Amino acid sequence: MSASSADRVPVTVLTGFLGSGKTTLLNRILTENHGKRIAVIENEFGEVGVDNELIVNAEEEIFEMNNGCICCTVRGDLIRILGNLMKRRDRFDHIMIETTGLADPAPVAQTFFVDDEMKQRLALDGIVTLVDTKHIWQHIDDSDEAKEQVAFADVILLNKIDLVAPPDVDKLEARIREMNPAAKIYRTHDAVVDMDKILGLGGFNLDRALQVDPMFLEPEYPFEWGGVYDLGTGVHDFVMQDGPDPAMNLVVMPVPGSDYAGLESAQLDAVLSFSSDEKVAAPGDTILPGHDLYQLRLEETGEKRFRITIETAGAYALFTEHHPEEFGAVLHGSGALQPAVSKAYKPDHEHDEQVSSVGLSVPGDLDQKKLNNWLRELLMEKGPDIFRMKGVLSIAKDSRRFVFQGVHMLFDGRPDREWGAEPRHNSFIFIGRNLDRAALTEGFLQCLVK
Amino acid sequence: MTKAKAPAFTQSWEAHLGDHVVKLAWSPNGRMLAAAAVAGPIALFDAKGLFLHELPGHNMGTLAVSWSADSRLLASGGQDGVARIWNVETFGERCQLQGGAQWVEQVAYSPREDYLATGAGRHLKLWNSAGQLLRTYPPRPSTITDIVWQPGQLFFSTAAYGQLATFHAEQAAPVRIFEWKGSILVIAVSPDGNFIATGNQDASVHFWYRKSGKDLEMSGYPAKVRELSWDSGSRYLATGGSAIVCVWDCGGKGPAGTRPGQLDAHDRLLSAVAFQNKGGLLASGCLGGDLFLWNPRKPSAPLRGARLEGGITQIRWASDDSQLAAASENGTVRVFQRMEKD
Repeated sequence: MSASSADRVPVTVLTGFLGSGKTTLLNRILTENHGKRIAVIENEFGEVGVDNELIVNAEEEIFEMNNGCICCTVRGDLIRILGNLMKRRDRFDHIMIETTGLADPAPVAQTFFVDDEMKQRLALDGIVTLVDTKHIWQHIDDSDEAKEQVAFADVILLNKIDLVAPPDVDKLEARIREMNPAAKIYRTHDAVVDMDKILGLGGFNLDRALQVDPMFLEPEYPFEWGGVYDLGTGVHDFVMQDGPDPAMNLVVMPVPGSDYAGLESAQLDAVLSFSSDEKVAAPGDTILPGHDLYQLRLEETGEKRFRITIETAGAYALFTEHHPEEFGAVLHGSGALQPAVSKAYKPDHEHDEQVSSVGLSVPGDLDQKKLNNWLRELLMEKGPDIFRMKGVLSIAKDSRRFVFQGVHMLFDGRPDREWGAEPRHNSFIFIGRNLDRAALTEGFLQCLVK
Repeated sequence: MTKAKAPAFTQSWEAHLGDHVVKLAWSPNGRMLAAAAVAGPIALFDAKGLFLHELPGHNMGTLAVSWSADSRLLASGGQDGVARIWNVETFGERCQLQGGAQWVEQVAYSPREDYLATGAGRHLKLWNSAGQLLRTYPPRPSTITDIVWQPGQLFFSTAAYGQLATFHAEQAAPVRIFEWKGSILVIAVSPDGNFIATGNQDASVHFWYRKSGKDLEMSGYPAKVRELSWDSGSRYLATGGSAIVCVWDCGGKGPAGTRPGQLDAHDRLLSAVAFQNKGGLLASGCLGGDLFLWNPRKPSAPLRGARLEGGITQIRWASDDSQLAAASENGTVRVFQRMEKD
């Protein structure tokens, strides 16, 4: 009964603090010769003005529902204006909504999920957030709006990069990437960006996010490095030079083989070891292979040696809290040893960041009923803290990919193309506040068909 | 129709505006029908379907129309920030009234005296037909979504997010305010003035007993409720927000805890419901273009049906119920005439 997505007019929401360049970008969109007829709804009174486009000024009106559910909060001004716009014969190819600098993006996005009239005729194409690269640091720590605008975005433009030194832009990008690893980030000057990078995104595209950061769906580990060595019996020295930290945690464990499979088979055990209490080891102390976590004390300056005693020759993995290079650390047997294989892990961030993301990528098929139950409970409990949720899922007994995106506790999900030759898998990301990675991961995994 | 008791209606005439009809209004004397297109023009027809004139309406779009009690003037509001009063005898524009915001979404003539209320954004104003501004009210808490005069009275009620306020035309302060945390989309006052019902964004119908202030809420509609109509006896309230017309019996102890009558024939969401002004029949229209006529006491099947091209946007009974007009998204205006009995 509902119109197919092809009939729905795409809507792009433009967010960003005052002065971030929203008006500049809008003017560019309206004047560029892209052949699209675009209607603009402005909440911020900029100086946009182009003859043959429709521009409506609106006063932001946030409508909370009587039931008190913040996830049902919508923007009344948009419903009225868009409702009228959709009646017009001169149909628009695209609608842009420019929000005020301090706007909460949630009610704007929710409007397209909650209101039946909007849902039927319009589709949220994307949320584009402009960041004033020079001044964002003043807001990013203490402004919920700034954080939410970043967290909700599908595309983030780091604008005004000409005013900031490149290393500072790198630092900002890393920071933003931590808050929202799924967004595509572009660096711009005067908001110059190809239109096809911000219009026609078609909602969320997980493949795109994976291009941005292939590791973003990987779990985070409490160690940054792991390597497998073939070790003979006897004492080996783990030799460390001065480094950035006064201590580093280490686990040494036997593995089945000196290859990646061997390394990976030990990862989970290593994670468990890293969550146990450390045994303190001073330079010169002995470290035994097994599940014990050692905290190597590194306060002394100069070279420090830790003795690793091997009773049975074979393959052993070392997992280190920091990358050994940071300490110039090398394992010595009869000479310096090279690992047979090694891997750098995505570090577990010290999340002082309230706003973060949890990504999952797991093979297997999901039990639809279990998934629904889990999501329903999760969203009832955590809905207000989960800003956005996106994914491509493999549902048992369905030959098609199931794609969806959500805002707080609202979904827009549908079967997509056939899996075909592509291996079936599930990719899923939550972006929000105070997310519990372990609980989300565990909850998701228990929805897999056993 | 074969049953002797059911009044028969037959299609009388049809016109095509070629654009989404946003508003339809019979003059109180039943001699003219105004049909406003979303792009702005307002077409005037006589009761036989003769096209009389096209008023230019409002640049960028017309949003509202309302007839004066004497049927000589038509007020309109639109996206050009003004309300206009048109003389339908000369087809001339009589005056322009500054609404106070870019969209004048509400114009409402008093059915009794020469008062015209306008709503633009949060701005509420009261005028007379000479274009004199009689009163500017303090801005309402949010955009005014509806203005409705109480039949035969000098009271009117306004809806906004969070508040339903009733004013007397001769007083500046509201005579009654009902606070309700939610977004009110439409108001329907029962003809006897005892009940005031609202259709809401959160897919509910709220309902106040005017005297006591006691209120009720009917929730669980599949969609927001923009369609409400009272029967002439002030007993039955028909509601949309669904593909099924719900008819609540507000007589006796009221609708609390009762199940509404359900009129189920539409295949899409309802877009209009309208009880007759004096009789007991109900017309309903949906987004699929179906128009049905019902006797709500016999809910099993509609008395008759018709289909318009494009979703129904408006259904209006002439004040004496002799004619029924319906309009659609595609610009069709169709009028049905009651067959006089021999």
